This record gives sequence, C-alpha cells and structure tokens, in this order.
Amino acid sequence: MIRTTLRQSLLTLICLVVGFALVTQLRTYDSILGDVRNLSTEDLSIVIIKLIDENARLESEISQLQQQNAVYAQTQADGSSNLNRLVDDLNRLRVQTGAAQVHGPGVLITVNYALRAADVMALINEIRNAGAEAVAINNQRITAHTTIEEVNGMLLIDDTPQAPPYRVAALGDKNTLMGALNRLGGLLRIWNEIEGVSISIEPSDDLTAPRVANPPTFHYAQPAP
Amino acid sequence: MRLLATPARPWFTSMPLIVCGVLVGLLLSLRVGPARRVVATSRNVTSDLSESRVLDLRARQQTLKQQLALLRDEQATLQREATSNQSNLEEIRSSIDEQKLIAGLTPLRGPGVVVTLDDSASALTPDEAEDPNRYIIHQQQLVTLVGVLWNADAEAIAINDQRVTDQTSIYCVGSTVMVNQEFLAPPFTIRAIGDPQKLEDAVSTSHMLADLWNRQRDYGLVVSVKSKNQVQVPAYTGSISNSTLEVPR
Repeated sequence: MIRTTLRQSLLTLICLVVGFALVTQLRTYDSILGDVRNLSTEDLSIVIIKLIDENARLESEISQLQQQNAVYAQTQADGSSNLNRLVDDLNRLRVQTGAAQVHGPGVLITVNYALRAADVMALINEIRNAGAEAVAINNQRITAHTTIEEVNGMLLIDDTPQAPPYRVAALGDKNTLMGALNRLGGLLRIWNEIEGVSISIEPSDDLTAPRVANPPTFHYAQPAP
Repeated sequence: MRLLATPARPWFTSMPLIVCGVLVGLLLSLRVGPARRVVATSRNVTSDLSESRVLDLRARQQTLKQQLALLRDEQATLQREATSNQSNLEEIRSSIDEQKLIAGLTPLRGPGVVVTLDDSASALTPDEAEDPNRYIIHQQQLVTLVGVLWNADAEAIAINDQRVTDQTSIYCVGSTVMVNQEFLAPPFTIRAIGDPQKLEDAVSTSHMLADLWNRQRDYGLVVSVKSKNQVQVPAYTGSISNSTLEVPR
C-alpha cells in the first residue's frame, strides 16, 4: 500500500515537473518567436550578427580547447610536466578577470560631460555590447564586479572619484567597435545630440587597460555541486 | 476481495506513465528539433533575414555551448590530474581555480536575494493617453539593477539562467532581452549572492531604482525583492574571447 502511494506520488510529481517545464518552455519559445517576428529589419540584422559572431567565437574556443586538452593528455601520458600549459591557462584567465594589465587595439571614447552613475553603467553596457574585450575608464580597469556610485554628487568608480573628461578605452576589434558604437540610435549618438555634450570616438592600435586594483573576494558564495 | 488483492494492474493505471512519456517526448522534440537543421555560418546577413534563421542560429548556439561546457569540464579534470601529487604545480592550479571563480566559470551558491521583474499585467491594454513603455521592463532598468547589486558587494549575479560576467551585456530587442547573446523572456529573475540584508536594502532604497518602484506603484509593473538563505547561480556558458588582447611581458 505504502509502495503504491509512493509510486503514485512520484508519478504525480514527475507529471507536475514535466508539465511545468513544458509550459515554461512553450511560453519562452512562443514569446521569443513572437518577438523575433515583430523585429524591424535593422534589429533583426543586429540580432543575426550577434548570433553569428557568438557562434563563431564558440566554435573557435571549442577548437582551442580541443587542442589544449590534447596537449594536456599527451604531456601527461609522456610523463613530462604540464607547467607551460597551466601557466598559459592561468594567464588567459587573468586577462579575462582583469587580474593582468592588457594591451591592444580598440577605440578611445572621450566624454566631456559630467556623467551620473547610471549613465556610466549604460555606457559600459553599450561598450560590452559592441564587443569590447576589456574596458578602462580614466585608466581604471572596469570588470563585472566594478562598483559605480554617486556620493554627494561625486562619481566614484571602485571608490575612486572620477570627473570629466572621461577617457574610456574599449579594447577589442577596432573596426567592429567603431561601427557598433557609432551606429544610428546608439547611446553615444543620442548623447551627442544633447546640448553641451561632446563625445569623440577614435580608433587606436595602442590602448592599455591596467589590472584591477582590488580583486573581488568571496565571503558568502560557495562552489555549487 | 480477491480481485482487489491481485497484483495484476488494470490497463488504465499505466495511463499517467504513458501521458508522461508522450509529454517528455514532445518536450525533447522541441529541444532537439531545431538543432538538427543545417545552419548557415556565413556572415552574409542580408541574404536571409528570416525568423527561422534566428531560431536556427539560436539552436546552433545552444549545441555549441553544451559542447564547450563539456570541454571546459574536461580541461578542469586534466588540470587536476596534471597537478595532483606535484606540490610545485598545486599553487598554479589553485590560482586557476580562483580566476575561474572570478570569471564566473564556476556555479555558485550562498545567501543572497532574488529580484523578480515583469511587465505590467495591463501592458497589453494601456490607457491610450499613456506611454506603453511605462508598462514594460527595459534594458536600462536591468543594467541599473545589476549595477546596484554589484555596488552592494554582490559576489555573483545571474539573470534567469544567464550568469553576469565581464563578457555580459544586456541588450533589448523588441520586448525580449538578450543576455550573453541568448534570448530571455520576462519574467526576469535576478539572483545575487552576498549579504542578503545589504542587497535587499540596496534594491529597495537605491535612488537609482526609484523609477522602477514608482512604476510598480503607478503602472502595475511587477517588482519584488526577497532575501534568501540560499540562492544558486549557474556558470557562464558563453564564449570567452580575448583574441586581440596582449599581456605585456
């Protein structure tokens, strides 16, 4: 009897979960389909470019990882040390997290206007959207964890006061960045229309983003299984 | 009596199982279906601006992300093997693990908050004199919310099932939002790990989010924040590109 009840409740549970998953998925799928259908031609081409580019990056990272993993396995089999491979992996991550200073091409955006904290957040989002690989504002590295606040009307980036002109280095493919940041209807175009605001965007082959001053620490978060 | 005691089950007791099977099958077919189609990888955008192209590219992205996740796991295992019993390499491996933690490549859990945002239920029939934009969640509100959470010392943030990392941008397209080049539909559930009280206070009282709360009151936008003993955020599954960056030696 107990077994039957258990079996029934298990089945009920499975059905509930499946039903929920189905409905959620259908809602999401429907909603996405509906939204895609309603996009303007321009928006649709932006979305398609974003998807194509991300797929290309994923493909390239997949083939890189396949090669790297093969090297790990081979070196391990030979009984030699994987020290070089490990150092390479570490450095690749340090570029990513802002633990290392980086150098490369990109665009330099100069904004000669006092920005509010929310404006700076919007600007960074716009720059990441344009495909930047590293960002620095007035020679301060910007990462996901960077704090951008206003205290008594003063802009603080990671607790350091910042004032105009803001020189924003966006490192990455300079042609892609120039195109995306200059696009009609883009944030910088809109800002440039505002009286008293002057913005310049210049391509460069020689930009630097320093390493983060204070790397993030984890007191509450634990690795999840 | 005897009939009731018999272990033989009438045919209809297996009905739930059959229904479940059919539902699961349907679910699987929805997931797998689009992925099997051939995807054009050319960047010749103007040649095909159809909805089905978007859905094909999205399905392809999901397949690639699964492949990448497996390779990242494999690499982590190889790194562990390469450094086990070698005390001189142990330090490098722990640095790699720490960097992965910061980069958002590790799923995390801990205390924090869950913020829910949704378009107003009356979004479809706003008063004609009103601006319909006031009834829906926009890109900038998500960007500001995430910024406010980082400012309150969040250690990790996810929007729906997408981890927010250095690579992440929030991009509004039509009435959906793209995060990590993946489409997210409302409701948006933002999970942040950190000091629950500090995070909750920041979301409730930050002047940067005043507009959001005002629109909850005036236009029925769905906004809520709850502190939790345990929230979980997934690992970042997108690409990590730093093809143009050099580390000065």
